[in-house]
Amino acid sequence: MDTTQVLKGMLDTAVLAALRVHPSYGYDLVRRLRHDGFSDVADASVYGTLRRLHRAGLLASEIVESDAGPPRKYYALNQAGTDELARSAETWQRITSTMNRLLGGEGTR
Amino acid sequence: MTPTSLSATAARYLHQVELLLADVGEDDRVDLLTDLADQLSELPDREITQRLGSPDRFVTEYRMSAGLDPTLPIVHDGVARGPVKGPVSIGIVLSLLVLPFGVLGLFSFGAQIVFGPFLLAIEWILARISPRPLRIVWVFLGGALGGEMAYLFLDLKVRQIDGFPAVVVGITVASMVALLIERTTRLRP
Repeated sequence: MDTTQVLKGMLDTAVLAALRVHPSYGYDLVRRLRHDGFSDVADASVYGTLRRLHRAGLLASEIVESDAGPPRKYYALNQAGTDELARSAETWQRITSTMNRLLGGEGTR
Repeated sequence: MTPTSLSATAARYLHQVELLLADVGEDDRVDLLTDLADQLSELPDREITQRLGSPDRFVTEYRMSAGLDPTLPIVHDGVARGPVKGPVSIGIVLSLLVLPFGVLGLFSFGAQIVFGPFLLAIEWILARISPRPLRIVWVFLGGALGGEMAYLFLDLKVRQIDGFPAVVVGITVASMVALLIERTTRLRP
């Protein structure tokens, strides 16, 4: 089974979920997702997903000055992003519960 | 954009990515390059392509995830130009169809006025897709054609402006057309 493709399909939800916990800039988010098990997803995909979600109006952004380099753009969930995350979480619960039933043999009866 | 803390290899990688993002909005480009510079500063040189893939692959992946056109711009001698897309391709085909008439038109004033703009369009397209040395040739030829059209128009059709004044106007128009072609076919150094 190609784990990368499965993770890629869940990347939008993972990004929204990670940003719900606390706001991040691009590379910080890449590090956090990698730490949480998304190491098989290309880093460029995380950067691209972040920009797309921002353009879609699901994220708020704020430029924050940094001691360690140039100013960084921090992204956080706005209300539209929070709603979208709730919908995605519901879908995910439905899928996992269906899969669990099938894998546990209940769905074949 | 090359932070001084980066190694030569990392800086080269960052520059390649920057060129391949030439047609992406400045905000998105600067954000990505800032993040990438952070990441590159923590990666040993030998792990850069292992972790991020080649610059082409990195940018293609980024574009697809960001919902952008994944077609990469053409990079020639450190200069990036937008990819040749549908409308430009159609323009090339149409221009090539008109080219023989345009060339014949060079021997007749009326036809030259009619076909001159098509020839100019062809030269603009060729300048757009050619590598640097050849691009300069198309820029000069385009300028010369524009100037010649202006001169002929004034000298032959507007009798009040002929001779030396028409030559001056022709040279001025030639310079402006050449400058216009040069500016619009060069995306970013």
